[in-house]
Amino acid sequence: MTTATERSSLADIHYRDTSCVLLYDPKDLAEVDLNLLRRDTPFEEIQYSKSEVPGIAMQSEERFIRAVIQYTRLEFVQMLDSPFAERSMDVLGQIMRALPELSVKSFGLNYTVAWTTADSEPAGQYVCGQFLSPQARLEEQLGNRVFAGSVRMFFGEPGQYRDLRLTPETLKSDNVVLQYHYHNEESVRDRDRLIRLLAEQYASELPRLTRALETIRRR
Amino acid sequence: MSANTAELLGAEELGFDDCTTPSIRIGFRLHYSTRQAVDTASTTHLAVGALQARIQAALHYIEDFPVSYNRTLLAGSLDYCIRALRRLGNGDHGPYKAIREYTEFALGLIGPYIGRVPDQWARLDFTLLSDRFENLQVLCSGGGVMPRLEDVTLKDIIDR
Repeated sequence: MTTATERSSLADIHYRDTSCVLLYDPKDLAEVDLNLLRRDTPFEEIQYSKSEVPGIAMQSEERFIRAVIQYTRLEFVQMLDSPFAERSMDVLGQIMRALPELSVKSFGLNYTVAWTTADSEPAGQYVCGQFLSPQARLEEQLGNRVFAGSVRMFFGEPGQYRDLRLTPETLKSDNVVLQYHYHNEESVRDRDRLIRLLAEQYASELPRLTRALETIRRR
Repeated sequence: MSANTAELLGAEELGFDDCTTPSIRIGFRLHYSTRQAVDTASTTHLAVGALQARIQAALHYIEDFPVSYNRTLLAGSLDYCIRALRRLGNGDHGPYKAIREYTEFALGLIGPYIGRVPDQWARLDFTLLSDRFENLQVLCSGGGVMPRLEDVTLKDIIDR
C-alpha cells in the first residue's frame, strides 16, 4: 500500500530496484537443498555453478526477481517499478527458510529511485547546483567549468547507517538517480527473527527515504 | 552455464559494493580464462600451472583485504597450496583434487569482495575454512606431498 506521504511528494518519482544483502559466516553450498529451493520459492530458473565465482543463481522472469547465494553473501533483488511500499519481502523469507540456518553478521537494504529534472536541466548540473557550493570559486581554481557532480553521504552511526548516493544517470542525462542504502551490523542467527527484522526494517526505512528525497529536492 | 547465469553471478559491472547491490565483478573475469584448463580434474602440467596462477592472482588481491586472522589464514593456506602443487608427482591425483577444491572454496570467500571489502568480512567466522585446511594438510602430509604446516622445515620452503 502506498503511503499518503509517498503519494503526495513523490508523484514524479520513478521507482527502480530494491535489494537486500546478507553477509554471513561461510556456509558450504553443498548443504543447500536445491530441490527445496525449487519447491518453496517462485524462481523458474535455479542454477548451481561451481565454476567462476561459486554460487547459486536464481531468477524469475515472470516476477522480475533474482537472487544469488554465495559462501558468505546472499543477495535478493526485485527489479520492479512499483512503489516500494507495495513490494513484499515474502520471497526473501521463502529463500531463507529453504536454506540451512545462516549466521548473519550484517545486512543491507537498498532502494533506487530516479526523477527527471525540471526544464530538462542536465542531471549532473542539477546535483552540482544542489550540493556544490560555491561553484564559481571552484571553477576558477580548476580553470574549467564544472558541468556534473555526484554526491555520497552517510548518516546514522558507523554500525547502523544510511548511505545515500545521488548521481546523474549519465553525464548528458536529465535523470537524477538516488540510491538509498540502509546498513546494519547486527549478528542474527535466528532465521525467523531475521526475516521479521528485515521486513520491519524494509517498511520502516520508507518514511526516512521519503524524507531524504523531499529534503534533497527542496534544496 | 547460460548467459543469464553469468550475468547473475557478476559478469555485469554496476560499480556498487558489499551490501549495496551486485558486487561480484572482477572475480568472474579474473578466474574465468584459467578455469577452463583446471576443470579437467587431471594433474597435467597445464592444469597445475593454471591453478597456481589463480592462487597467485588471489594472493595479490588478498593484500588489499583488512589485516585480520581471516586474511592471514587465507593467505597462509593458499601459499601452502602453491608449495604443495609444486611438489605434486604424476600420481598425486587425490592431493591435487583436494588442493583444487580447497582453493575453489577459498576463492569463493574472496571473489565477491574484490575491490571493496566490508569491515564485517574480517569478523566472519572462518572455522569452516580452517577445518578444511586442516584436512588438506593431513591428506598432503599422508601422501608425502607436503608436511603439515607445523612440521614444515626451511628445506621444504626452499625446495621446489
